[in-house]
Amino acid sequence: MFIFFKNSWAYLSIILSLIVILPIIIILFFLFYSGNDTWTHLKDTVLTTYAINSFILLVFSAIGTLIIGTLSAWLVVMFIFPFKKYIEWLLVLPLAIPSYALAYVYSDLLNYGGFLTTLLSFIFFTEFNTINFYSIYGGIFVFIFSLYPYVYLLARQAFIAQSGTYIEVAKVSGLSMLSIFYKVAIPLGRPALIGGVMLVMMETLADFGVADYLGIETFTKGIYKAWFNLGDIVSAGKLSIILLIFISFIISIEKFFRGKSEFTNDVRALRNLKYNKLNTLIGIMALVICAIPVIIGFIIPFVTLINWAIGNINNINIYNFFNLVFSSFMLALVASIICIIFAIIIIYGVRTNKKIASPFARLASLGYSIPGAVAAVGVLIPLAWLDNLINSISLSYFETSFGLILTGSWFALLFAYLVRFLALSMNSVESSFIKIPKSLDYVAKVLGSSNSKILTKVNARIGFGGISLGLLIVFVDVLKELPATMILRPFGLNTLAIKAHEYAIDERLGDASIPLLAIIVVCLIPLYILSRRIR
Amino acid sequence: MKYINIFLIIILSIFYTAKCWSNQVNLYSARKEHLIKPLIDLFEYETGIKVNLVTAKSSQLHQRILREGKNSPADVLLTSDAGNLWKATDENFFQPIYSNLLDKRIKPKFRDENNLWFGLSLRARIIVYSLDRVKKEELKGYEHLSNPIFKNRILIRSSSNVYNQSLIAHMISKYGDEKAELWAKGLVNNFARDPAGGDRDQIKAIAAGIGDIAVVNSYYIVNMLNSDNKSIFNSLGIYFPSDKKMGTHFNISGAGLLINAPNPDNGKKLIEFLTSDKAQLIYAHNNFEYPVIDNIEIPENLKMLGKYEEDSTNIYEYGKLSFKAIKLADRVGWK
Repeated sequence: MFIFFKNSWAYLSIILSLIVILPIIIILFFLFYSGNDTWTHLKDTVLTTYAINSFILLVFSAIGTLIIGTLSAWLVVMFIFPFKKYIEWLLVLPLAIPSYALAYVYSDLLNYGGFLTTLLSFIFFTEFNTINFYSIYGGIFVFIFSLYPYVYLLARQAFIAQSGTYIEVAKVSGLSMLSIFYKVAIPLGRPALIGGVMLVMMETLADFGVADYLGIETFTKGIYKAWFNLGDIVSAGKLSIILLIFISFIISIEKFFRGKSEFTNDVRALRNLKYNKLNTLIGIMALVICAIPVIIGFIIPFVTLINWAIGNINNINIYNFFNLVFSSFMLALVASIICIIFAIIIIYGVRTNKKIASPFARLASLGYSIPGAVAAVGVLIPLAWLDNLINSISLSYFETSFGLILTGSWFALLFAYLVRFLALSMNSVESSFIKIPKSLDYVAKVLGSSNSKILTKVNARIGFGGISLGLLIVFVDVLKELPATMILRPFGLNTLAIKAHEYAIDERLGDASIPLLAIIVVCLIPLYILSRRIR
Repeated sequence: MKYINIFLIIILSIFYTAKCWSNQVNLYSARKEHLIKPLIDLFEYETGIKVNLVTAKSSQLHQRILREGKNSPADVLLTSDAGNLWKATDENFFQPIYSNLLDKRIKPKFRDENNLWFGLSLRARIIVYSLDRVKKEELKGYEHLSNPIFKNRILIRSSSNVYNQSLIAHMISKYGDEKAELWAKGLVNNFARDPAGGDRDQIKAIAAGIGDIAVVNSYYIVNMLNSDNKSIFNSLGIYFPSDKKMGTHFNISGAGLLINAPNPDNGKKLIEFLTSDKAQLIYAHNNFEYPVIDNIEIPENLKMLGKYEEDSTNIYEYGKLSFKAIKLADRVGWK
């Protein structure tokens, strides 16, 4: 009992982690059931292709986002160049566009008679009838330009937090800006960079929407096929385990290389960075480098969607539409608040006692690499069981039935979001808490503060940037989320993402553009607020 | 204090379930909302019964019903494709409906043999071809598509699409396992490119000169004819595949009453309503689908596609072959 109270934060952290891990464990339990011959069938026919494709997607998306995200963050943090103030904000915007929307837009623009096909034919004086975007290259393109903001955001945050002293010392030692970049800034910002890339990789692995639309045969599609098309939950469970083992393997490699090094700053040496002015020519080059991802990842799709929407504006019912916007907004807001609360408690628990809480926290963040639909069913199984239990108890004692209070309400859906997106909020909270020197905690403790006071008065305040970042990323991601919402939503709850998806699947991109634009606009509000806050 | 208020609001909103209406029916629909909404509105208007709707993919609804078990709130499952309807019957989702009206209106071919589900609308899986590069006489039914004369000329989407799974299942039921597999192998050899994109993309690919013949769904053709892309069809022909052995293949959408339905009477009413002339007209004129009832007037743009010969096989007979079809496609390398 005494030990529990002494480490109460750590134990609370473990309990919350366990709640989140539960659905994952349930899926894994299907391993022990005997299945039919689906597994052999998949292994003999398509599994190798699926695995190779996923691997290619993973590697290239990771490299691409790492380069774009880190480079643009470095330029924006270290230098002054034309329009930098705007670029700094614009670079985040692709986050507002769902990756599947990027797939819709570019496959259409590059299709027969599409704008880009015509443009490219004009530029190169050759007849491009169509460029096949429905391929693994298309997939890599989509993932790089829709996911690089994860790396950018975390990298930027890390570079800003890096003490100016390190850079100054490096400068005095005669290092050029380039060598400072890869000898000082990157090694120091590694947890953040790796954190960002890890998110990209998990998102890529869990994706279904893009792969499905572009017809790429990925591992996740294999899970879907086994479970939803061939009805074999056991094989789907086995495939999910392989996915999880793979991700855990990557995570532990990173942990291994990070070793015992700590990345906290020394408070006394904390000094603000000094911006470097670039001369006009190099300044414009920096601008161009930063503008490319913005144009590809945001401006082109945004303009195309507006263009589509103009032709279909008459098809919407204003009242229903505002309902749709409102319910999507509320859902995302509530989900992101819940996620951030869990994340703060879990990460703080790890901070107070790394040894016991850390492994559970790691496991809890695995949910992000699980495809949404798999997580949804993992949530559905225990909750439906609980619901049926509640009903049979209430029937026998009170002779009334409550209906499905867990799976028939927002509860199941929010739980699924928690399982899926906790990693996102944990990552940003962690990368901001890790920067807070432990010495501050000790000082507060010596001055008589309790752990909860240290959290609210010290860590949460200094790490506020990371916390709001985590809140925002989850908000935006929930707004875009598809499979879990589809499986778990209660009667009467409709979201913009579902609406857009239903039109898109029906090959009516014009109608899909309006809810997609609404998603983007709703995302822009918190993104704007955030950009003011973290400046 | 203010935090407690916010907290309470959040908690309340989490557990908020749909309002309890005295007269309602709960519908799980694999048909998208924009397709089913006009029908629901009319039903609500005519009967005063409130319809609570959840839409998702068939397989997702299937999992949901499976997990919710005997407390599932769903009354009616509306889903598309023979394979999905069979999966639902295989898991004992449905209870039989005894309705003279339904028996009379819907042909045995378009409903389950034990009255567990009833077909509501049809989409034809047909061929669009380049008028310049294909002679009409060359086209002779589905089976002929695997003939080497079509090498590098055929466009069709991925086998992960249910329309293709259903076509393969139909071929298996017609020709048997081995011959159907040979057919699929031949077809894959004739592909102009790796399957990519949706049905509209196959049609655009003919226009772009990638292939000559596309196997697509009538629904998308009519939708394209109604859009800016109409001009593409100036150089394209439309053909309803049929030969001596097999007529044109149709994808069906259908509905069944769930075994634990809390409002079975309303569920039955809803299904009966969907087969009424009014509802069938909406299917034909709003959604451009073929009605399951014979004497319904179809719109001009559906008529324009041409006349056809339906295949005679009962749909439930090949619904059960859908697993086989998926595996067959994997074996022959149909992506």
